[in-house]
Amino acid sequence: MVNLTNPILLIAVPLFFVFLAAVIAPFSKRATKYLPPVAFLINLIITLYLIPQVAEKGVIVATTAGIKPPFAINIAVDGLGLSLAIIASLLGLIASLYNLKYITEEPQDKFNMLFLLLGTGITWMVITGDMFNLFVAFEVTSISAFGLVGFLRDKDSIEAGFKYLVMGSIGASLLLIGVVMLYAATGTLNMADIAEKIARFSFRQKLLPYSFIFTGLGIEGALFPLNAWLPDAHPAAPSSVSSILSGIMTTAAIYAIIRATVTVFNYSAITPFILLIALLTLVFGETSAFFQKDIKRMLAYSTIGQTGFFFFAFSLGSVQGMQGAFMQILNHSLSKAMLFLIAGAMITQVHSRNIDDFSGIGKKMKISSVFFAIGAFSLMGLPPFFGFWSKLTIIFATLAYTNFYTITLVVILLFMSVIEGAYFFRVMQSMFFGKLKEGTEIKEASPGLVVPFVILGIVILTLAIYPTPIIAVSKKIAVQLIHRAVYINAVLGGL
Amino acid sequence: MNMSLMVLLLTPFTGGILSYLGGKIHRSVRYTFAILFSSLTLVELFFYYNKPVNHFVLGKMFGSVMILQINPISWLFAFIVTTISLLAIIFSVNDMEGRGGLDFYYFELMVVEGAMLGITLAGDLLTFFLFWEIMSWTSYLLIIQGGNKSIKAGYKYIIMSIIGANSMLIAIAMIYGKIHTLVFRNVAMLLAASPHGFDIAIFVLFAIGFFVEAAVMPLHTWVSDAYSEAPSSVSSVLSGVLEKIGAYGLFVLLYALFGVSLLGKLMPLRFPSPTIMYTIGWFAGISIVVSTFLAILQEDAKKLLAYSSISQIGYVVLGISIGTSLGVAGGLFHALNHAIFKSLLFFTIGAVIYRTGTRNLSELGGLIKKMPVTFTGTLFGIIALAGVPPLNGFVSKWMIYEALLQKKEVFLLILALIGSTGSFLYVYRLIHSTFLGQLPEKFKDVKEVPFLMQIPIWLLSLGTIVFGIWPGLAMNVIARGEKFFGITPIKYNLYGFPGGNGMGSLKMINISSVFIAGLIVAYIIFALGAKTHRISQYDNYAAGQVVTKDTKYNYSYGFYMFFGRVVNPVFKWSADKIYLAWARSANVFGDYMRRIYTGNLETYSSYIVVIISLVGFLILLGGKIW
Amino acid sequence: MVKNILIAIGLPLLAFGIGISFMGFKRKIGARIQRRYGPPFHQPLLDIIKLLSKKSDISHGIIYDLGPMIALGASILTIFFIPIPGLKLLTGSADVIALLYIMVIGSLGMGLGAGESANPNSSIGIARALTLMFGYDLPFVIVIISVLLKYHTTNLYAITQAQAGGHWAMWVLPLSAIVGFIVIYGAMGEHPFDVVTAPHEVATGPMAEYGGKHLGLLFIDHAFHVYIELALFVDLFMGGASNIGWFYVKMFVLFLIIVFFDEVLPRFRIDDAVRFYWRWPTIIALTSLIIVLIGG
Repeated sequence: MVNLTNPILLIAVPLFFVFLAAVIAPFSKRATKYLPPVAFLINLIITLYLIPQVAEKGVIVATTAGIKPPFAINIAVDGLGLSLAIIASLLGLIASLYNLKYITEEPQDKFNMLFLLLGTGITWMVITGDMFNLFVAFEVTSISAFGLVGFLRDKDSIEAGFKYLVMGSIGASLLLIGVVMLYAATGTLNMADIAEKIARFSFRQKLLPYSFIFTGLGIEGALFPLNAWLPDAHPAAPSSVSSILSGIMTTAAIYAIIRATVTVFNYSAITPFILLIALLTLVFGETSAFFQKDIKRMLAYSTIGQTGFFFFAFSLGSVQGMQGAFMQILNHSLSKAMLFLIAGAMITQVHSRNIDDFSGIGKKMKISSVFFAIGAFSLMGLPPFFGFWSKLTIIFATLAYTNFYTITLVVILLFMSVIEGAYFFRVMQSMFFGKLKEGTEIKEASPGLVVPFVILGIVILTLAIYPTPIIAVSKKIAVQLIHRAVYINAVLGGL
Repeated sequence: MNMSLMVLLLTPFTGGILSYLGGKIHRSVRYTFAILFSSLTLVELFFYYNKPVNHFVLGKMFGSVMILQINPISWLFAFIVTTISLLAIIFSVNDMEGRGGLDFYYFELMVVEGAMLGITLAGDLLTFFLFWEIMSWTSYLLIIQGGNKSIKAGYKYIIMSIIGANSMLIAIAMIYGKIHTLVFRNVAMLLAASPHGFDIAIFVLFAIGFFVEAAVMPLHTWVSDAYSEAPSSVSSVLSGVLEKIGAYGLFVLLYALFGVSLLGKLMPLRFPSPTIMYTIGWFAGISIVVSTFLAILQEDAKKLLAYSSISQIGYVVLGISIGTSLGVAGGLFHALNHAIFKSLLFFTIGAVIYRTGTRNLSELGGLIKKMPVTFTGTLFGIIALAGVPPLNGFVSKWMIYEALLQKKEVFLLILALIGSTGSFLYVYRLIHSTFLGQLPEKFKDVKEVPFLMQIPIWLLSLGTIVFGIWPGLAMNVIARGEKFFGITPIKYNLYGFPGGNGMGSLKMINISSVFIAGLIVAYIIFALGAKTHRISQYDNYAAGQVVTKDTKYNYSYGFYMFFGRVVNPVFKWSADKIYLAWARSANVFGDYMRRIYTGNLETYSSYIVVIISLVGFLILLGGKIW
Repeated sequence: MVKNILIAIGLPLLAFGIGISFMGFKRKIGARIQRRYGPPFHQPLLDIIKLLSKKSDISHGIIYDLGPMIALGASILTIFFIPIPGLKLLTGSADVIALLYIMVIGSLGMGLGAGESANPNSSIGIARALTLMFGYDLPFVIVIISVLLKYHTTNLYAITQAQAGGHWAMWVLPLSAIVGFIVIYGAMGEHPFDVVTAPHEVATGPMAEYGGKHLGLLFIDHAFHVYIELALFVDLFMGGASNIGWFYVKMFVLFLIIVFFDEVLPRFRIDDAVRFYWRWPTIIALTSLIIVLIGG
């Protein structure tokens, strides 16, 4: 009997399936595509099993070699990490179900292996308790993502993949430098241990390693102006991959930044700087999205904007800000992933990514369009969807202290939400009420593509109907994150 | 009597879902559910006629309770919402026939109804805002049902609506930041204790949101397009109800959250009423006059009505902003009346469009012979709208005039009176160009609208008479509402107002009975004369020219052209143009901003270097940039 | 009760008598100014009798018939709200502001009826009438507001009472009175404001299609109309009167001035008429209003 509640399984299971895929591939390349859904399903089940434990203990710690932290590589799952792991597994499952029908290009076995690795890396990133492990997970994620972005092997993909590769590598090296510096200073790689030892360093001494880690992760986390690869890479990848990249990968990198900032470095004075970056990310992301003609590019820019939005909430540094950030992460991940999947399904019918070509397809692809609208509404924060509550929380958090600056911030925030509304409504208008191009044969995408995103849509609708439990949980998570001592004690004194 | 408000609130939503699902079975199921559930809402509402509910807890969110309540004023607005929505649903059964996506249309219609009901029942700002947002985007979906042009109109609406809602959101968040609860009562206490700057900021932010929805100038620019392009029954909901919701919001803001005495303290008293309210009064006054002028010059029936709505809502806002018992009562009463007669007019014009397919005034004419019921409805509607006795519009407008006079706000009074005279011009134009004059040959075979579409017309016409001759019926509710908000109600009786305290007296029953007597006298004289015989419309004096069937000689296009010559120089400027210019420059600016993503790898790498150097610089500064 | 019934019957007759006599005077005076002999004094009455007793008449539809009736009914309604010496009438049921709008009902009836006649001349006439009304309404409401503010009441009877003993509003508010006169003058459609009926342009405008008993009703209505405008001005600015005789004299003097102007002036174009009203009369009326506001 396997102990399902061991978080290490979250990494071990998909890794096992990767190797399994490598073994199966020579016999049947087609069979490999059934592996990712299984792996992610198992992961999802495990994460769900972990929920009661995390709810009870706060942080669960697992080690590899039976040695206690800080001397062993350890995994520490707290509320935030677990939630992201759940989202990652869920999105992985949905996207891999989508892949069954969607990916027809060869080499399928390589694709599936990379896809599994991508999911593994992301899950690994959000549950690891070790700085170096974070770097490794980061590399696993990045490298599989490079491969997936370039998977289609047309001009766009290759160019985007190359750009991504260069930028991602720079990011990884910066991250590595930061981790090395930390190790040199504290003599340990365990996050909790670093966190404890770093207390004796001054603000300024901490800043150098922090800035490297921040920049390194920021490249992957789509922070302005380090995110320039994203608008190329996300659209160029197959839609299922884009949905993972946009939905959870950037978020995982942001998670790492949050973890580093709050838990490891215990920074709060840095937040104005982060806030500025977040705001710029938001403004540039949303503004650029407004001008896009390509639907996937538009969604990608919107991802940048959303990242800015929840990163902004995080940078407020308050419990409520953190809560808002988490809620928006949840909302963004689900909605954006669904939007990318739908966009992919539509593209298979329209054979174009130009928004103008989408006009009128709402009448033909009813389910897709309606769910697109649901996703967009949730993303825009219109009630009764979950996005409304997260938007509200973030605004409340920003205006917790009313003064000129916070009001200015909120005005900027809301102005951006108007722009977001503007471009989403524009797309939906042309979708539902535009004229269908003559001579085009468009029908609903095949059920294999529709069912996965409908499942996601149902999750979003459920959140819309029962937002209260999630809001309560998000508050707990936020409190847990802000009280970093809980985490440190759990890891160091744990087991 | 223990029916919870939740049931009332959920009825339209349930009806919406059921009629959506029912429509999949058969269209009659859809109609049955829609009509049944919206009537049910109305019936349920009447259980609360005399029973205020103060505190019905809906749930808890962010540590603030979400509550529903019902007081006489919210009852009044809920009554407007449910009645007009019900009639709109009845009207659209035939009107929307043959269009696609009807299941969804009815669903939307009932969700909008539910959302507006939710707004009127909300007892705290969070509930209020939640339903407000739902109302915004669902009504957007209704507007764009009207075909190609309506999409552009809807786009404008939703953008302005989002801006308005966001402005409210800022205010709500500011309040939440201070007291972590959003119940009206607590908010009122907070505002009473807060510094004046804070209060004024809150007020302005809320007012922007309400002005957009109520279509008060200068935030009205979405109205003329949205009202005219939306389907007729939607227009009547928009104009009859949605605008009123904006006015309701303003009422809540002024009397539930702030209160006149607090408003008086916020700024030095220089005018007859608190400065803030006086300012709002001026916004309303300018709305009244400017949009009246614009309405006079319209060639499109629904555009005309849309501008007229802006002007009429001006009266409502003006009345509410006066701040006296009489003014508030007048404003609220006018809200009810406007809902009645403006929906009536949208329905009748909708009926004309339904039969003729055009809303271009110069193409129509002479329809009175073909559509007598519609004509009668329009006649009642325009008499009420123009504020001519003995119908309802007159009473409420009269109250507003009296209130202004009482307060000696003479300049606003001039605007109000002029707007009313001006409205006479455009309503006459409306009825003349559609129903009177020459009947074009192409409409020779037009028939009266089906019975189902006549029902709303009949009922609302009746409403204009009932509330005109017996204003006391509405005053019952309004007076109780005023008492609820701590305002001493004015004296009234069933037939009018006994007057006193600088206010004139009014007895509607006398006016109407003498008028009827006069009519009878006139009729007797008429009847004593020789019998008349009907002649064809072509048997007409045309200064010697022969009028034939193929000539269109009706005086209809540019009806008030000469008036246009007087006022046109002023209308070169419009708020809409200014907004569009802003949007354009923002567009250009944004376009420059997005060019930071050059697509060039070298540039991107250099960004990384820049960030790293910035952080290094930060370290040099000692880590403190703030 | 008996008195009430007597008033109810007598007042319309009185108003009609006064109106019709003025119409007779007008034709006579006009003729004398033009060095003609002119028709007999009771010619308008003869006209009405002739029109009402015509054997044949046409109709364009129900509203065409109803229009003159509404106009006449509304005029009869209106006279009950304008106090005559010694009688309050129904002023307790509707004050001056309400009266402003009661007076409009007649134009509405007229407009509807003329509209249904489907004659472009009628339509143009109505369009002009309404525009003209919009034009003179602006100064008029300002004037009314000044008077109401001055006397702190909106009851027309109370206003006439307050002017008792020679304290006419004309002397107290001379500027308002001048504008009020110009407005009444325009409302009566005399030169230069006769754009509505202008026979050479629009063939008597709204009346173009009317004949027979319809026109007879409209003539009766016109008589009432003359009475209403004059009586209103007398009540507002000339302190009403102590008895019917004085009332008649005051109205007559006023009417005489109007007729004199009417006979010698040319005609405005409609937009010029509006511009005219919105320029000097408005400015003068506003000045007067501000004086009232400041001076109490």
